[in-house]
Amino acid sequence: MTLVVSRLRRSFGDRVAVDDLSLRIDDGERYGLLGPNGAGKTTAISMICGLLRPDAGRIMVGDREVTTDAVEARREIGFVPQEIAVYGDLTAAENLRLFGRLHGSRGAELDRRVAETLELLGLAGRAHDRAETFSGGMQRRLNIGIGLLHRPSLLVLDEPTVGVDPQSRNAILDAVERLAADGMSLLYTTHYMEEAERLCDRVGILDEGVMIAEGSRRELVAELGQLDRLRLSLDRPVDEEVIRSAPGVADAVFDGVNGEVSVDDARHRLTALLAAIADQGAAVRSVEVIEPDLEAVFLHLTGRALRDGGA
Amino acid sequence: MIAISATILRRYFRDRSNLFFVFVLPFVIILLVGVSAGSSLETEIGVVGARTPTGQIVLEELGSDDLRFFDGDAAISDATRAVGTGRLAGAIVFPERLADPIEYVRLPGFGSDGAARLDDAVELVNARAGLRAVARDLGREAEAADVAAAGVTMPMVRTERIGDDLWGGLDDSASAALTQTVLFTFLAGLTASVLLVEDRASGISRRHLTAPVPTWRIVAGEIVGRLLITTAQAALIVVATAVFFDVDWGDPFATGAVVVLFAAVAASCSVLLGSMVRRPESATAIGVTAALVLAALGGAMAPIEIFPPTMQVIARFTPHFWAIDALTVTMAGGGIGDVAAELGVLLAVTAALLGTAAVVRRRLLTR
Ligand SMILES: Nc1ncnc2c1ncn2[C@@H]1O[C@H](COP(=O)(O)OP(=O)(O)OP(=O)(O)O)[C@@H](O)[C@H]1O
Ligand SMILES: [Mg+2]
Repeated sequence: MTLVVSRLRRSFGDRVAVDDLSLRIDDGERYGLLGPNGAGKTTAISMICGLLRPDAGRIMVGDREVTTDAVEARREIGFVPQEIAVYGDLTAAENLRLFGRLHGSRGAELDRRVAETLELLGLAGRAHDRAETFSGGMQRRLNIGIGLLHRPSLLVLDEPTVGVDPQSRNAILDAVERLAADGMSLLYTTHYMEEAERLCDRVGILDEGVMIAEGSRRELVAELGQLDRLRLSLDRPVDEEVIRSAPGVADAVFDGVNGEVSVDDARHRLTALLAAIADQGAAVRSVEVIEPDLEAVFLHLTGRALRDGGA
Repeated sequence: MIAISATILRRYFRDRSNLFFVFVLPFVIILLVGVSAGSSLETEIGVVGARTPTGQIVLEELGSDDLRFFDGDAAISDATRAVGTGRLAGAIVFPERLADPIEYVRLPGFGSDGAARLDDAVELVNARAGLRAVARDLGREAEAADVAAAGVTMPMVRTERIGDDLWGGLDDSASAALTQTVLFTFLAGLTASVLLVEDRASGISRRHLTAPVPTWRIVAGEIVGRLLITTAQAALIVVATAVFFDVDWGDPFATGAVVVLFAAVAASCSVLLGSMVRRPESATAIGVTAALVLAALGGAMAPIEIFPPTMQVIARFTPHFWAIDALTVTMAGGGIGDVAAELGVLLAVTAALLGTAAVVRRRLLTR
C-alpha cells in the first residue's frame, strides 16, 4: 500500500509543529522518520493515522484519503503510539481481542490472530496475565501487537523501542523486520540512528517540523560529502604517498604502523587498497571501516547533535 | 461498540473498590437506616406552645424530661428545622385554640425513641378523651367522671403528623431504598468516569479511533457501557430491597422508566466528567463530591420538605429531585401517567446531556 503525504502542515498556537511535509512510501518500503525531540514526528504520524486534523495538506493511503472521519483508510493502517496505550487492567489476550473486534475480526479468525500476534512478540506465555504486571519491554511488545493484529498494509510505529532493554529491543526489531519481509510497508520514527540504519530502506530527517533531508543512508551521506574512513594497523610502516595514489583514496595519514585512510567507498575500494599495501611488503594486522552515519548527517545539517545528553 | 461497552463493564467490575461501592455499601446504608429508625441517639423533643391549654395537658402526660421549649414568632420554623437537621427527635406544636389540631413533626427516616414517646403520649391523650366521650354518650356519667378523674379533662384532640408527608409518606425502608437507589446510581456513573480519564491519559482513547469504526460508535460504546453500569446498580438495589426488605416499588413499568432515564442521566454525566478532567484522581474526587452534593441538594439525604424555600427551588435543578419525586409517586402506587411530568424532565435532561457528552467527547478525540 502506497502512502503519499503532500504539503502537510500543523501548528499548535503559534508553534509550527509540522511545516510543509511531503513524503512517499511505496508498497513494501521501509521508511524511517528521524528527528530530535520535538521535531514533529509524533504530530506528523498522528495526522497520517487520522488522529489529528492537519491545517493544510493531504494524505493518501492507496487511493483513499485519510481524514479524521475516514473509516476505510484506517483499515490499511496499523498504529503503534509512542506511549504505551494498553489497558493495564486487562490481560494481553483481552487487549488484543478488543482491538481485533474493533477492526471487525470475530470468532475463530480473531482467536487465530490473537494467538499469532502473541507468538510473534514472544508473549504467548503471558497471554492471560494482566498487562500491568508486565515488564516495560513486554508492555512495549503488547503495544506493538495491538497495532499489527489486523495485519495492516502500512505499519506506523512511533519510537517503539524507547526505554526498552536490549533484549526486548531486539525482539521488537526482529518482529518488525519479519513483518516488513512479509511485504508490510513501514513508517518508523526514532531518534536512534542505528535502528533506522538497520530497518529502513529510506529515511527522512525532520527538524523543527521541516524535512531537511531525505534518501537512503548512502545517498544522504554522499550528499553530505563525507568520506568513509579505514583505520589500519600494519606490521611495518609504509609510504603514505603510495597509499594516497591508490584509486578512490582522498587522503592517508600514517604514524608508524597505524594510520587512517579516507576513501569514497570503503567496502568497494578495500581490496585495491590492501593490494597496494601488500605491494610494499607490509601485511595488515587489523582494519576497521568507519562509514559516516546519520548522526553525522544530522550534525552536519543542523550543527546540533541528534540527541541531547543521554536520551 | 459492543466491544467497547463490554470492556468498560469488565474493567469496572474487576476493580474491587467498585465492587464494594456497588454491591456492599448501598445495602449497608439501607440496613443502617432501618436499624437506626426508632433508635436514634437523639431523644429530645421540641415543644411549641407549652402554655396553651392542650399543651399543659399533654405535657403532663409526657413528663418534662428531654423537652426543649420554643417561643416567639419563629418558634414553629425553628423547631421544624431542628428536627430536620436531626438535632431533635421530633417536635410538637400546640394550638392556641382548642379546636385547632395539635401538629407534630417527626421524620420517617429519622425515627427515634423520643418520637415514639411523642406518638404514645398523643395517642394516650386521645384515647382517654375518646373514652370519656363514649362513657358520656352511653349515659354512664359516673364512669365518665372516673375517666376525668384519671386526669383527662379535654375534648378529643385532632393531630396531624407533618412528618407523614415527607418522602411521600413512605416508611423507613422504602424511603431509604428509594434515596439510596438515586444516590448510588449517580455515584456509580461518576466513578465510572475514571476509566475514561485513564484511557485518555494512556492514549487508549486515541487508539480506539485508529480502528475503522465511525467515531460516534466509539462514543456510543463509551456511553452505553456506563449506562449498563448505572442501570445495573439501580436494578440491583431495587430488586434486592424488594426481595430482602419487602419494599414495594409499585408499577414495574413506571418505576423502570424512571430508573433507566435517571441511569442515562448518570451515564452522560460520567462521560462528560471523564472528558473534562485530566487526572484520574481528580475524576474520583470530583465524581464522589458531586454525587454526594447533588444527592443532598436533590433531597436524597434529607427530605425536600424540610428544606428552606430557596433550597427547595435549587433542588429542582438536580436530576435527583425529579427521580425522587417520580419514585415516591410510583412507590405510593402511581402509574406511568402520574409521573409523566417527571419523566419528561428526566428525558429532556438526558437528551441534553447525552448530546453534549457525545459532542464534547467527539471533539476531544478528533482535535
Ligand atoms: N497537543 C499539543 N499542544 C501543543 N503543542 C504540541 C502538541 N503536540 C505537540 N506539540 C508541539 O509540537 C512540537 C512537535 O512535537 P512532537 O510530539 O510531534 O515531536 P516529536 O518529534 O514526536 O518528539 P519526541 O521525539 O520527543 O517524541 C513540539 O514543539 C511540541 O511541543
Ligand atoms: Mg514523538
